[in-house]
Amino acid sequence: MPYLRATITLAMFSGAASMLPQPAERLQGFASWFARPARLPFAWQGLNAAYQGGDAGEAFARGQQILDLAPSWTIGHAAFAYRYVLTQDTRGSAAEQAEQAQRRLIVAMAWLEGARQHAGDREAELLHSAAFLAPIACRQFPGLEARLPAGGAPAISDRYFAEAERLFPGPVTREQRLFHVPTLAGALLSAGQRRQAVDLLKAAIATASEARDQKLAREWRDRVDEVVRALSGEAAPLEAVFDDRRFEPLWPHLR
Amino acid sequence: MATAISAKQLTVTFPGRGRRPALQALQPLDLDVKRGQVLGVLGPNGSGKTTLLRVLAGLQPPTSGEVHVLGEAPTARALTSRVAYQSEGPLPLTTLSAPEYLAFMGAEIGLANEVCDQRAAGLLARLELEHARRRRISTFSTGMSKRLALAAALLAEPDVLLLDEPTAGLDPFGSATVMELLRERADAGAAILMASHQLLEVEESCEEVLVLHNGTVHKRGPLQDLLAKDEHALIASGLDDDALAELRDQAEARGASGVRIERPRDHLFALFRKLGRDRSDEERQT
Amino acid sequence: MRAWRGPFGVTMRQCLREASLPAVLATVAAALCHWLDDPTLAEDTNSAAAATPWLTLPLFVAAVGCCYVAARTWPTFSRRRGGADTVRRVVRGPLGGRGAVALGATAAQLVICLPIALALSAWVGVPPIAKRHHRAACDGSKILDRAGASLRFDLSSPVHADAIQLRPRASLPMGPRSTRVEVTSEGSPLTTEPVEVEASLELIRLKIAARELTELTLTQVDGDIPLIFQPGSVVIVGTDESPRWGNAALLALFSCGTSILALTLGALLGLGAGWPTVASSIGVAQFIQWISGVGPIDEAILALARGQWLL
Repeated sequence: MPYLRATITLAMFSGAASMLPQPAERLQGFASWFARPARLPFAWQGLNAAYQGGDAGEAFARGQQILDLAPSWTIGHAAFAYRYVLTQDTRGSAAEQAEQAQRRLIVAMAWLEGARQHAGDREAELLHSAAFLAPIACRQFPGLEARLPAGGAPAISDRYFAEAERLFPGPVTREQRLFHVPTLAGALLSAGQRRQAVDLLKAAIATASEARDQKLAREWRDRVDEVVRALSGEAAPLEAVFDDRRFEPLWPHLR
Repeated sequence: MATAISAKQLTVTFPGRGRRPALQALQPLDLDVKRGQVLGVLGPNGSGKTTLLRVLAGLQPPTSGEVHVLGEAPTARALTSRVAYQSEGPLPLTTLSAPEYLAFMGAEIGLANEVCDQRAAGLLARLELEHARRRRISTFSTGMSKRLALAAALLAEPDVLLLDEPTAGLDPFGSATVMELLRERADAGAAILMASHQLLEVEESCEEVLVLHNGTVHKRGPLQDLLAKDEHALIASGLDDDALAELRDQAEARGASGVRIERPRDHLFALFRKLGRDRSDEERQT
Repeated sequence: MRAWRGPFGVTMRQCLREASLPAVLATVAAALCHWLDDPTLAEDTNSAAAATPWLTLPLFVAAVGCCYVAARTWPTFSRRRGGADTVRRVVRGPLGGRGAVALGATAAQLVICLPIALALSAWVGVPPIAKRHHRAACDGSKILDRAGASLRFDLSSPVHADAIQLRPRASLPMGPRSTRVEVTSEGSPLTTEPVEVEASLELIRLKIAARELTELTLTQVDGDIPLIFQPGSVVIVGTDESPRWGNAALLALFSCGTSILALTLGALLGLGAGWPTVASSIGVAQFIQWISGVGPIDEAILALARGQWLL
């Protein structure tokens, strides 16, 4: 008799639980919150063990566990994502390494995307971290750039800058995107997309006035204008452009 | 009859520690128990009864003196199956069931499994523990635990039984069964030393008692001698008051003093035992 | 069999009766926690390594449970326990039955832990194949700090290998260039290009053509980062493959060692201490080994999860 009562009670609670919307995610969220004080010290211990004796994948998995317990920690997300992408355990030919790096980059980007929902006010930081990940990875793994879609790493970065500007319109996010334009234009030119590059630069001229420092804005606008004229076949003094390292991605296309 | 237990000038002193002074639990003590003898050990709390039994069981080394049990030192390995000790305290391994506990004891004293199981079944039945064979010892009452302890002691059919309060906590029926078993064992030639506060049972089952006090022997001897009074009793039935008065006059005329006429009473113990017999008869008939 | 009725058998049966259920519940909880906790984006072979807490939990519960039941059941494991006199009289021997009790407890623990280790290792995704990892030892200096410096690592016996793992510690860089190291064996290079090392304790996995190796030589080609090769930093991965179930069984066996240690400590303390002290010491000894990572069991669980053969 007592077992019958217990069984019926359990069955009713299970039925009620199964009718909850998104029960698995709620359960996961509740379990994470509940387990956090007990789990975090061991999660860190596990992470150290991964660094001492495991591989990058294990460290990334441990990192995911830590961030599941502290989902709003955006810097943590960025740090683990960067470490995972930039650590190449298995050595091989440049092509093999680039392929593995691409896989890791996709995984890390997806993970950072998933972290956005918990980032709150710090989502802009997260988006900027995501924006720089692809270019840095391409510098680390030379063959990676060629494996990325049209526009390469700069295009990926620009998407994140644009998203940050859209969600958090303000001088910081606008300037971030603005000063990234030469890099993106250089990538477009490398991909043979000259018209898009010129359009991008012209748009940058139009938005240059939104920079907070107007002196800087004027300089920037002048330099971009010189580049546009040079790319359009007009004569333009490019000394200042070649002196400014921010325009380095465009130099090969201006000589 | 051969001597089963002998002790000469036995002393036990527990050393002091810190501010606690040394305690002499047993003063020089001489002891001699024959095979087939049932010796009751009496005395107030702290008189040394348990210490004496523990020395004989090999659990407490004597401070001085000589002790022999069945001709060997009490700690001799050969005595494990020949000398049984039932301690006053709780049973060990209380998470086991009664048959498991007896199987363990049987294995440790060297009994073959089949022999052990057979004897265990018989003892459990005799001591009315059959109904609880599937229960853990921890669920037993005090009386049941005592009976099981005795069953373990009797498992090897030992030549010496050292029992510390074997009937404490038992109902009169249980006590009677225990006493019966001990009597059988004594008749088979075992020497039994029984420390007890149950004076009536000691009186009924022991031929001789040893009374300890402060670690020394206060008295020892056959019960008959120790309890004898300088009186005589004439038991008769069917006499009226006149006849009783005449008998008293005659006794006084012959020099008797302090003559009194009383109706003797039976012991409560005997009443319970009669109830027990009646109950058994009814159960047999049904 | 008489042993089955004695302290060994009594303890083993009691441990199986009382410690099995908590271990099973812990296993269910661990499986559930892994399901909730599983890092979904990790590469396939590494999420198991991140799941070591869930492998540890039920084995730890089984170990503690068996030790606790054994020490509590046997009255001579601590002082002033009821029934000690009875047991002391019949169980002779220098250890008073404690040795048999410890063996009984560990036998029960093995019986409980074996299916748990087998089931959980499959559930958390431990690699189905385990490979033997051989540590190569280097006598003398273990530092590469200039171009041309070389270190020789010897193996205790020849190993048929198809991979090498390096994990040197990097010292303070003397310049901007990462250090490049050539990997050779018996004079012939094992890789097509020198290996580049930048970060400290960075794992470098090198696939090589399967061959028998008896020694390995690392020669610095160039670079500004001094590298220190401490023990365990050069590992040769053998080609022999062993099944996961074998590795899990070994883990269950090794887990018994923690209980032997804890019960030995408890028995020693029990000569003079009471039950609370003995129970606490057993619990602490197990906690230190399983949770704090002192001793080999922690490494064994990690090795299982990483697909490394435990022997």
